[in-house]
Amino acid sequence: MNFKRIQWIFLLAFLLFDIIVGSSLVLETRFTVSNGQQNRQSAVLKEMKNDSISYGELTGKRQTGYYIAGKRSADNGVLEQESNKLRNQDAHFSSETLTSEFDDPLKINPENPAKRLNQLVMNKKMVVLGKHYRYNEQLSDKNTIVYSQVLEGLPLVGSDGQLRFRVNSDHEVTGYTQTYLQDVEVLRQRSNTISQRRAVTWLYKHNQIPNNSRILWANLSYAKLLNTTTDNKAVYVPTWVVEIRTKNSGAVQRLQVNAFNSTVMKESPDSVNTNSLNNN
Amino acid sequence: MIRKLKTNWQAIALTVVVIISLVLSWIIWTNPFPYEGARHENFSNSQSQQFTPQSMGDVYLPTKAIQTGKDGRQNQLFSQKANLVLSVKKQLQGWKLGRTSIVKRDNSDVYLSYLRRRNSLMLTYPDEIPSSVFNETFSQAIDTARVGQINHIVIPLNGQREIYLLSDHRYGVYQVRVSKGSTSKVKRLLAPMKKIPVDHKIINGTAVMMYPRSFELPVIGYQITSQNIDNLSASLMSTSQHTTITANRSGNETIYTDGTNKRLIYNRSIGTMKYENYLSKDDRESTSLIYPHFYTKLTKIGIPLDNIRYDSASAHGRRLTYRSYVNGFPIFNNNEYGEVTMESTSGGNERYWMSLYSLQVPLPINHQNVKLPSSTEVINQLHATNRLKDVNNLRLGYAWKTENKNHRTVKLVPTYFVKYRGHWVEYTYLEK
Repeated sequence: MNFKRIQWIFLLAFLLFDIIVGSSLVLETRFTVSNGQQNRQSAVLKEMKNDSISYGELTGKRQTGYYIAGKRSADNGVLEQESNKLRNQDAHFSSETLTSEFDDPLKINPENPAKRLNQLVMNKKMVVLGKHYRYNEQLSDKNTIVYSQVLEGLPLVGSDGQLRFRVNSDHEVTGYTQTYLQDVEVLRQRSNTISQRRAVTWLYKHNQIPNNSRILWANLSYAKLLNTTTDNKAVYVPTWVVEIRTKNSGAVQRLQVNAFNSTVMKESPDSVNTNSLNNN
Repeated sequence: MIRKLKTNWQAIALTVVVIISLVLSWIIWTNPFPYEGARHENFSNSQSQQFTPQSMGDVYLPTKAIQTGKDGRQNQLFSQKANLVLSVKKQLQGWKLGRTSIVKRDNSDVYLSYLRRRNSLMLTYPDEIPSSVFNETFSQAIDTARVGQINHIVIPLNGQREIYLLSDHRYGVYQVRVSKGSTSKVKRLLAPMKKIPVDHKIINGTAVMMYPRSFELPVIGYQITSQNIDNLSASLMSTSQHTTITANRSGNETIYTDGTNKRLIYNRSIGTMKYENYLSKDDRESTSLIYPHFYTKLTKIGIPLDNIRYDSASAHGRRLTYRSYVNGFPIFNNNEYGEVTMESTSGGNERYWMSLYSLQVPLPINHQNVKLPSSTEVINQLHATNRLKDVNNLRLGYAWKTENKNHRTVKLVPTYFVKYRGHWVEYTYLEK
């Protein structure tokens, strides 16, 4: 056997070794359990594509949130008291809602309504407690512009903390209704939530997403989980709100997934009697 | 030159591949994959698993955070809002830890001085964890052969480029170099935390944390959630083989068997379960892999892991207990609700103890605080009852009382617990 041939054999043997060991190192991930889940998730996403469910980019990043308690501002609550400061409008408070009509309608740009309205919301004479609200593009349409109350960095969905501006056909804001969540209190330490991708794949696996549909958006928000009898406070939980449009009919539906334990949120929240907790 | 390369290209290529192979060998040598064995159960997609946002690193987390000031005063940090341990974990995950060396072993005085190290933050595990779990939790690769078990992580806040890992077993103190990372963000996290004065001592050869002064903690309300026994039994008894599961009632118990090696005993009156799986000796999990193995099992049972943390290890590290925690404090219940114990015997038997009940949603309640005595006072009181000799541990925690069955809510009340004849009981129980 000549030297050249031996050299060839060595070269091939080492090359093979390098490829096998190198690729096993590259493919290896440190945490095998989550690795398996990742793989399952991408398999589910593939299945969704096969069922012609389209979606934008979904992040696999986990986020964090709290259990939060608060109560809707009622008669003699913060919102009603503050509303005395309002000017240039006709405002009245009833059934836990402040309703107001502007003296002069306000022209807005329908393409970018927030530009003008952000200024208005921050003006204490025009809107009270405005700094607690943020423009919510997804919930707004051409007739209503919605600002959601922000709890610990996330918007509150549902009727307990919202500013809804009415827009007429001339792109003018004529007035608004306002609700406010007061006495907001964090109930438990910050904890991890499921990721956006997990929320969507979970809904799919539980047959909540119809075939041939499009996922318009999926946002992390706070939604009401429970009503309690402690001072009429309710408990709010981080929730993935997912909006889906069926491609054929164009029907739009909104699904909510509890981001702490991945269960579908109920239409009407449970009520819990907490009287026994408040007795000494 | 080019001609030379052309004629010798084989030799050059050979040299290159040999060098690459040496580099690869070196990488494998220095980075052992600690959980190689766990890969076997990776794709066993047998049952629909409840998605939990709790990763393995979230279950095996330190539960206590203790700050030692420049004057040497120690405080346990807690908060109803900020999750300090989770935030520090996130910071440490971005660090790069380097070489590990032994500072000292078998010297309790030196050990105590590190537990009380001035100007530091110490994260304490409820019980020892293997260093491989530390690596997993904090995305590090410290030398697991050198550091066996870890009880405390000491992070100096004076800009020192190292942290210390302490092991109560044999008083091991290990120094780990910090090649990348800064404590400035960690320091900022400490400011909003509430404080309880504490002190560390070594009593009868065990490192313990004492509360030298009386203090107050809030009462906390929770909603109790209950799992469905049918779902739990299905997920526990499911097998790949075609076996039929039979359920027999006798007295208060329902016993599920699959005819071969699995058995579940469910106590209907109190809602507790004991599960047994007789594996052969060869199928049992090796001790080094018990922590990831039981984490995987825990996620598959389908109980909520929201508030669940690793709490203790026994039976030479083959029996692990997980417990519900609230704001960093452990929760104790007479029926062991909110608790899961998992054991893999050396004979191959796998056993779990758990219940249907867990705490999930915290509830708003009118604010009430409970004034707690100092731990010295508690010990003196126990001394007076003459039962101190049977007590071998003292912890601060919350009592989950289930006297009233119909209630779906519970008031968690802070108090001290002692380990009396192998069980955790409220210290006032011994005074009766």
